[in-house]
Amino acid sequence: MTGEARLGRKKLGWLAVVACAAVAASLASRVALAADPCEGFAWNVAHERALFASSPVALTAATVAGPAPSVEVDKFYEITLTPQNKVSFVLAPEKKALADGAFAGMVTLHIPSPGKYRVSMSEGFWIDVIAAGKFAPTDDFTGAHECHGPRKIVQYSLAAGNPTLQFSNTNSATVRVTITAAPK
Amino acid sequence: MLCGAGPALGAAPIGSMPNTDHRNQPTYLPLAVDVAAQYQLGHAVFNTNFLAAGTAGAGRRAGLGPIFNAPSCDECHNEGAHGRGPIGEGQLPDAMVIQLEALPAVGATEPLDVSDPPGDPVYGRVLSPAAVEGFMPEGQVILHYHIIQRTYPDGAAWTLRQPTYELAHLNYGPLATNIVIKPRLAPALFGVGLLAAVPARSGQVGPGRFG
Repeated sequence: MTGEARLGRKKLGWLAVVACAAVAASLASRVALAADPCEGFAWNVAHERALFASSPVALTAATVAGPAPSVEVDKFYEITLTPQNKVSFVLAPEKKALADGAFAGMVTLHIPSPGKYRVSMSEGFWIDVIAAGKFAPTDDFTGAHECHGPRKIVQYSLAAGNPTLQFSNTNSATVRVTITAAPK
Repeated sequence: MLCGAGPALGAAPIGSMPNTDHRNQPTYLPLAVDVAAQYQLGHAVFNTNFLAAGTAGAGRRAGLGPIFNAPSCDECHNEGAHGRGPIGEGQLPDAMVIQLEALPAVGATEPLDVSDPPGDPVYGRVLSPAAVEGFMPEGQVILHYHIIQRTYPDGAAWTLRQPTYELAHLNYGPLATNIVIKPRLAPALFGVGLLAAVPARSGQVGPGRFG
């Protein structure tokens, strides 16, 4: 039972007037705000959006633990993945999910100096960053549902080095990805 | 589901399972093997991003849409926690939805069914701002803030943000004129399964065990 449902009819009527008035009053002048599906991010993602507007470098992700294609900061990649049931992960994805028809793979990140880094991707799939045999904890994430350039961004605090970026449960065989340093 | 309500194994006291992995929270008691498997499957389903119904090769992941709010449970109830609210103007985050409720017509004599209030005749009880390819979402919700600035008697200033919710691009026509909108943030799910496991009183009708 909702709190609203307990309200008296008179109060509900007042609420309706307020709600409808608020909707109607704002409809006329603010529709333009709704036009850009990439407005919904919680952070300033102008740099990531600019990278997504550039031409991507094509890579094919590794399917087994070990050497994997290297991904550099501030470059934009289109990465080809493999059906997930044919991929042997470094560590099983930290978030368990049904993987029917999903794609997966691994690349190596080149992190030049310690700091906060963002992994931006074209779909809302799951990623793990693995350093020294352990999952790197995420600092934060954001996303915009109808935006694909990017759709989702996850932020990590990473040491300099070459951690593994592991993709799983993607809907498509190719994904677009960029790594950026988070603004300080 | 998240709290693992179901037949338990052993006599460990409730809440004694260590919670060391926030992505895989413990059940409230050790579970029998078959029940634990069901629990793990349920958790995986909760985390799964579903695909449009009929997607070739999607297997158990197919079934999303044609309109929806989010492609997975976890997207709004991340790791079982409450959703993230808006931090500024613009599109609402996925975890915040707009419920729709129809008020009784003026002069209606039928009492309002408070346990199951009707929604909009076209849009239903929740506005869906997303759709699978080939379909139009129901609309978008844009948050605006009106800033109220006042001062306390001692001269210190305070401000409040008064939200208004703009329902834009309603693709299936206007809402009915008697609709109220109810912005709702996805609640935390911890303990929901425990509540569901509480047996109802014999012959109980109407609202739930604690209502």
